[in-house]
Amino acid sequence: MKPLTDKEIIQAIRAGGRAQEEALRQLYSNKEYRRLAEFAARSFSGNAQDVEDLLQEGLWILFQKVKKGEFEERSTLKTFFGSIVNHIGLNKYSKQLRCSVAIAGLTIATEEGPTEEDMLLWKEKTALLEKPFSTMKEKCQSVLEYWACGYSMKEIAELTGLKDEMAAKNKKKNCLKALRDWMKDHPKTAKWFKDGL
Amino acid sequence: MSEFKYSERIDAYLEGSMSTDERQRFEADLLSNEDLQAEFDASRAAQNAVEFMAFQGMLSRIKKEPPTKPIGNLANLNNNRFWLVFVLIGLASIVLFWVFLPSGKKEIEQGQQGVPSDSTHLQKELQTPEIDSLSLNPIPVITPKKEVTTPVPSHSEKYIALAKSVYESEPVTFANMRGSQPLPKNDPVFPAAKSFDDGQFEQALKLASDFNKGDAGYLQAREIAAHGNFKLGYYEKAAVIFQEVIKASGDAGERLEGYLLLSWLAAGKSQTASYKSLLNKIQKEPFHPAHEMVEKIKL
Repeated sequence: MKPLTDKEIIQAIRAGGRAQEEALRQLYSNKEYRRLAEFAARSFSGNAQDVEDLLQEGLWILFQKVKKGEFEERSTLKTFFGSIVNHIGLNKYSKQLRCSVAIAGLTIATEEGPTEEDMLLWKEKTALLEKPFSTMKEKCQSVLEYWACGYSMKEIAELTGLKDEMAAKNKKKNCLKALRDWMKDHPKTAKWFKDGL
Repeated sequence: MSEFKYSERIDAYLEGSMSTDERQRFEADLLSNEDLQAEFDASRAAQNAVEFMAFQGMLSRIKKEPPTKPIGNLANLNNNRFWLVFVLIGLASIVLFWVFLPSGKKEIEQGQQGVPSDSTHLQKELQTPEIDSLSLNPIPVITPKKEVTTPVPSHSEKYIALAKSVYESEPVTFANMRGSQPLPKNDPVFPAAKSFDDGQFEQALKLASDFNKGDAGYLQAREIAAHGNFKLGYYEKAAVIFQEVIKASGDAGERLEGYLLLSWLAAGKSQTASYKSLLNKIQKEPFHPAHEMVEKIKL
């Protein structure tokens, strides 16, 4: 398959659904993005096991920024991704260099230093996810997952074996309500999910 | 379990379906109404958690899929393959032309020399002044062409040439060796890195050798030394240093394994078990940083 251009990737991320997944597939398997994550891992932690975490977290942040319109297209996506993984590496892996540091010409002013939430590593974030979803049924999780990915209610119904669009809509509403209730009863974790991602 | 009183308003706000006035009112209420604030925070947290879970889900689906060829600079290789084949056929035709043309001419000439006496007679007749004067064009004289002999490279030369061409296909520079940002001038390895990037490999080697174990930038200096040795044709030495850096870097050293392989190849060690095992490993891992590089090694 022909690689997507930056513009096409941005459109795909914003469109959601299968297009978004294809964009993620391309970026995840892009050798140059992986290499940038490697550089960051090597520069800040020296541990290649962090490469996979950096790559995934970097892509997560890139997706969020693109969705929120915070990527202004003044650079290429690859350069933007490079700066993201460098920031992550600098903030999370170089614990001895928390405040206003200059490593390899990359100066990031962290006036107050990173918060506890900032310091959470990708694996820890992933583990934290289990909390609110531990009591939720698998179908509920799938419906919410597809919904968040931007799939239409019709597609969600097909993918999860629900009767029709309306059933998918109701399921999503109930599952999301259950999750909100859980968050309301667990304000500490909720705060982390609200601010820390 | 707490009840949600404002879920409709919150949904409308989060979905962006409110008018500007409604939106402003909602934001003002958020500041003054603690219940609304708590519900909004919980809703926002739930939304973020779901988005995060969805992203993780996408990633795990992608990871479960059979690996596809990594995309990168060489992603267009498939598209270019047609042209590559085309150019190769063209080159092969030129080579065949040059190889067979002289022998073809030779055959013609041999044929002329070895023809029976009748033909010799005829040839003599053709060379009579009468005929000559009648001919509009002079009869071309076929002179034996000098055989073109192209030096055949030895096996080791072939391997060196192959290793060098693969190495040069992904140029190594150290300007960004610490990430996407340029290496600062005050970095200890800057002088060696700059010399290397400027093509002053001997100088780069000299500067890189000033580092001792434990010095800041020691491993980077060794890496520069390894590449410098390769550039200068000291392939065995390059291989030894690459091995040392790979070993010292743990898993991060993986990215140098392609260069180690090229150094071994150029050093004539392509038949060794270590070479074969590393080649095999890289070929089997589509996400290996040297996967594409190694794909180009066709012995």
